[in-house]
Amino acid sequence: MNMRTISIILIITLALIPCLPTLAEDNGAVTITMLTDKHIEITLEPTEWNIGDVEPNTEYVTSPTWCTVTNSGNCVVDIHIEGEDAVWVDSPATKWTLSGNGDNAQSTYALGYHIAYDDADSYTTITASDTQMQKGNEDPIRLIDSNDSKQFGLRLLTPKADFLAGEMEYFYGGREMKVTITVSAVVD
Amino acid sequence: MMLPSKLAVHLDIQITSIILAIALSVTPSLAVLAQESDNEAITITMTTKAVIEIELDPPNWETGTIRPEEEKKTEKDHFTIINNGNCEVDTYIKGEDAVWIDAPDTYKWELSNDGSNGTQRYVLWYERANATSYTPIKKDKNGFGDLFIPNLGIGEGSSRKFGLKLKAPLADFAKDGIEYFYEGGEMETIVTISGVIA
Repeated sequence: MNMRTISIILIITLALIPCLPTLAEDNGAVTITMLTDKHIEITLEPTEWNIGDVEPNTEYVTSPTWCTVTNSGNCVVDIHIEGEDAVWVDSPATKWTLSGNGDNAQSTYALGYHIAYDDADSYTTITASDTQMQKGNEDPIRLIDSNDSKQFGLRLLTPKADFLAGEMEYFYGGREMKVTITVSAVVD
Repeated sequence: MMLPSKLAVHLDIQITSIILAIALSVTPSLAVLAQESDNEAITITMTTKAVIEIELDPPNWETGTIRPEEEKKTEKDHFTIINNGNCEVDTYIKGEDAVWIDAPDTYKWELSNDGSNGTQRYVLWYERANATSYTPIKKDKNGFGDLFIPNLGIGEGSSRKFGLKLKAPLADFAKDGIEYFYEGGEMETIVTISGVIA
């Protein structure tokens, strides 16, 4: 009987030993992350700037609030800008090279932008390289959510004259020049 | 025998979970990769200001005394036309009636439109320096006239030369065997050359 009793007690004891740790408290966590589709879209308004007749070595500017870029997508985007050479519509091989430093020269013109309400009151050069737009010396332009927008204006400095006639400086006249500025929304 | 079996099942579930996790994590990334940016464009157009300026040298031709039916002409390189503007132009030429400057409304010679003269009708021609024949100059009250020199380039290097010829009308009357016009004195006419951007 003693042996039987001892055996039963031992069995119960052994059976309880593995159960003891389960009585201590512990928490586990599962982290779930999900990604929604990003829709990247911006709109520009207006998209045409018809300057009209231009003369050599002359600056033409829009209002600082002339163009509005609006985030029409559903995600945070950085705004980039890029220019290109201007071409003669009738003969695209004839062109004005876009300046890389904001200075003009014969057959070289310059483009710049100015973010509205920029205290620096200065223009940032637009080059042929894709560059993030920036307000003065502040952080780059970032449009946080849908309908977030920024306004900016443009500046164009025409090339120096093609030739002199008397004391007057001239371009070759009557040439329609055309340039496209590309504004991009890029997901960080 | 049971332990290996359970272990095997556990491994299968783990592998499946890992594959599922990888698949789930790749799926959203593909959607993002499909569209990373959006572009919009601003188009700038401008036109270089055109300056059209035609210079004629000399600007006058004094024929001297002219009698009925008499022809007067310059050398074929007497006049020079220079484009002092900043664009290539097509040039046009036209003439007009000649008037007696003492009383322009009372006596004039009509400019012929067919190259033949008549009573109180005179004829004007031009001849380009590199041409071998004369071309009549006609009236064109509201237009530029006929094409004269097309695609005239800029500057003296592109200048062109030409001459003029004039044939007087028939006589208005004769006296003592000598033919006269009604009005003695100075008659004046103007030849207009216009430049239009080519």
